[in-house]
Amino acid sequence: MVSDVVIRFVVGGSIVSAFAIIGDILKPKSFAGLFGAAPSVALATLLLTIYSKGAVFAAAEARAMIGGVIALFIYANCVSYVLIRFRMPALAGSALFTLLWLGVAIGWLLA
Amino acid sequence: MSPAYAVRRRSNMRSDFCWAASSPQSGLIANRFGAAAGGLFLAFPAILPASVTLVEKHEIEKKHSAGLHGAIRGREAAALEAAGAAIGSIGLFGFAIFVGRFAGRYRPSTVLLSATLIWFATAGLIWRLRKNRMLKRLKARL
Repeated sequence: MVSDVVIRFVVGGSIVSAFAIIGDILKPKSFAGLFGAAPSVALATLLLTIYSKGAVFAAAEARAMIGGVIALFIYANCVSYVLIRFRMPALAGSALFTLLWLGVAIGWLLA
Repeated sequence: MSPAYAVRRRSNMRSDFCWAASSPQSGLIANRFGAAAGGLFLAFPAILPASVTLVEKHEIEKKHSAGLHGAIRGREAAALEAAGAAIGSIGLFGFAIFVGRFAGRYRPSTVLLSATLIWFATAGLIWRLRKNRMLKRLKARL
């Protein structure tokens, strides 16, 4: 179990850093914002899941990911809106709306 | 590598760490609660709070070095980053559908690589369309 976590951390970290470096290099900076929703964690996790639990389990996880993506879309738009409209500090706004993400994602799961 | 880039890269590495640290979490949740619950957390916004905070901080520092306050500009830049992530999440939707459909049928490396390209192409296209629409609006006002 611990080695599984370590492997996920290392593999996840490598893929995340690769996407982050690409995002840093690309211009303009508005395009680099796309990499805030890059499938870095999904790639690392699905890759490890395919090799540990099989492709069918990974496919089920990917289908369930759709609910998380919908929640992420709503979350990112709300964060963008409140930062502009209400001039909330970035950390406060983004951390607060994580609860919104959880609510939408869990609602999707239970629906 | 310029000193300014080195400083930015070091502070970005903190947000990379947050995201890397979230990588085991979806696996642990899947182990405990099943694929449906674990799959949700593949799209958990672990990095966005860190990245919008960093973007805001960098913009404020840039304005400070020019003798300006920079708070409003910092929040605008952070809002743009979040808006970019919203567009990226549409691409992520295509990624999830593709992997969900084809993961069991073809080689994993091919499926994941193709899904990543689909994410990039979808998000890039929507970004481009949005940018063109904004440019047209700006030209219409001038």
